[in-house]
Amino acid sequence: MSTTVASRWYVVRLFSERIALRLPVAALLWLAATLALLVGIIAFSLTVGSQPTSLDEVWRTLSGETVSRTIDNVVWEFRFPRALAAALVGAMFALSGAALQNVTRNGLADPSLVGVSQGAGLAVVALTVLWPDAVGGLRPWVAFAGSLAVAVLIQSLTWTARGASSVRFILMGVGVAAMISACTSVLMTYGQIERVLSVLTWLSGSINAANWADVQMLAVWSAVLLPALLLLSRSTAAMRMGDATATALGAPVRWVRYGLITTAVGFAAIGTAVVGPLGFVGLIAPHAARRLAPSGVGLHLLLTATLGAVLVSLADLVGRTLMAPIQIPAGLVTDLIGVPIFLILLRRAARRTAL
Amino acid sequence: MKLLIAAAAILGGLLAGPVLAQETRPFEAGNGTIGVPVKPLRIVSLHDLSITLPLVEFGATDLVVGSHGRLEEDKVPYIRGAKELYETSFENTDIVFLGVFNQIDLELIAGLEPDLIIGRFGNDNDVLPNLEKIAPTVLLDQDKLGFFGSMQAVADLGGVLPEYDRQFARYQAQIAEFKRLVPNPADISIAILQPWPEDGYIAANKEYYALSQVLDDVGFSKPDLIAEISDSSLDMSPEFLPEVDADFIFSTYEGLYPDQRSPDEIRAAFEKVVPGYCTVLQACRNNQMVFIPRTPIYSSSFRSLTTAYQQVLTHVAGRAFVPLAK
Repeated sequence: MSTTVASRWYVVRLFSERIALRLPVAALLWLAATLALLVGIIAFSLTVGSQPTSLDEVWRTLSGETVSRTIDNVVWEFRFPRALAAALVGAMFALSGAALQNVTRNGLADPSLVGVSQGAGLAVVALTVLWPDAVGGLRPWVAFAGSLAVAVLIQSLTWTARGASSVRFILMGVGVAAMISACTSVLMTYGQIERVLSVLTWLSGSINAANWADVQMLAVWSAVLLPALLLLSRSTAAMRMGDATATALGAPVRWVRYGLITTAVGFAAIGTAVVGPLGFVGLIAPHAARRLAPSGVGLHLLLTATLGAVLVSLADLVGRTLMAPIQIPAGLVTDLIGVPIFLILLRRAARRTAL
Repeated sequence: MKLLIAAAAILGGLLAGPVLAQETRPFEAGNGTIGVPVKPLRIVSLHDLSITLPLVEFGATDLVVGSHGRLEEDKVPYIRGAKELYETSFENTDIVFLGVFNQIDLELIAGLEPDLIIGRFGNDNDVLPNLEKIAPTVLLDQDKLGFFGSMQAVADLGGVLPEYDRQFARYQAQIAEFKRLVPNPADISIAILQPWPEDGYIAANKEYYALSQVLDDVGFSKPDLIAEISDSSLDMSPEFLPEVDADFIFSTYEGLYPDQRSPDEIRAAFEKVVPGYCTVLQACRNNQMVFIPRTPIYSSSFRSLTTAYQQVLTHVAGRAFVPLAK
């Protein structure tokens, strides 16, 4: 491997230059900075909470020493998996948003805005209310099926003889999301109260119940979906110039589109299955990544993932500690941050397109 | 090497210590057969009305180290039911406030080092894997256990079953006394209705905790529409109001909630949902509509049952009334 450092670009040459990447230094620096910030937030998360723990106790616990059974439990079983789960679902929702924005070429696409999260939510609520004994391990698969069904529905409604329109995709998505939310409300209204209440917290996006099994599931799915998304990034870059140009450049447009939608749905569905719908992360993180450091698709995805992880980690930390012992669901915090940002983006888009 | 083995043995002993210190027994719960301490000393309750309150009522307050609670309007946490019926609160006991509904602080529970955690099957399933790391966790399937079964299970877990048995026997004596005073309860119909003007419906309740338990145990009848409900209540369109008319109608007010603080506010709520409701209902026209405070008759508690019993006895057995025309 040989590398060349230019003033604004970092060039990576691999396998006798069969693979060569020119990466913007600013984006790399931001990626390093956000990764450092994420590690800092996770480290801080391990030391704060309702149960007083000193930095030394946390360090000794992480080193394998048993300070006390309580601190072992608090650090190993609650804070650590929770912090990791928050970071992973943040990255997943962010990547889902980025993939949707790439496939629709619309900066307002977000899994919670176009119905993908709601699809997962409806499927899980239906399962919980109608077949409560079957919830357990089925939840991620049911969530995935719900999200996928919505994505296919929106795609089929959007697709016309003249091709797909990104504005139509968003509008259809908003409409379908509203319809799905109404169905969820019906189930919540007429379902048995105890069953309904049990999904209420999940619906507001809570990471309170995260454990190592959840972390394992999120990590495995991230390890499957992230490389797939990165593999698609070269063709995605070509598609930024329009389908015709991308086809002329040799990109398999149709397959890339299916691939992007599948990975976007996968990320959102798995994240939703574990912690419930987290609004606006998929909207904020890709935009923030773009504003911080313009870069190619691949690096943008990595920066988006770390920003999403930072956002949700921070939201969960705030939700966990601000009004302790009451646990504010991270989804409520991301909504509080996300809605103003969404309105700002909408206003800017309106100015640009004179909508 | 010897040093390592000795250290491992000491560590093992320390970890196993708390487990070995307590004798355990199997307990059939909603989440399976759980090994619970025979005499628990530090209980965490994940629900105030149905778990903390019975423990308080049966004299096990000192065993409860932490409880789910609720927030008053000024954000002061309280234990619903225990506060109103026994003046037991987070302030005047060592019970630690753990959070509100489905937003319980798990690490606070870990810090309390409980030897038993009691929650509700269905509601607390998501946090069960986390709770099991702290202490034996029993999730009671309250739907299957029913009103008394649930209280009995809590008393059994808390090691205060004799007190439950004593209070249950007393309650049965009260019901027998009621039946002596009202020999024909099935001929008297009683409905429990609650207006919700903001949502535009009236809740017709088949189950209403202690109040409905007393009514059922005495043997009163219900309007057909309510008797046929498969769930605990029906959110009824106001146009069905005449269908749930009865000899007596009970409705409750609750001092904690805005617009529900007094009988007058509940009457106003009925009026808002159905203008002129009192002319529609024979029970109301004949002053047989009864407004009583909610929490004292709403809890999983023998004191609640006694309060409900006295209210019903006073209003139904204690005076002449105009029966609903069949």
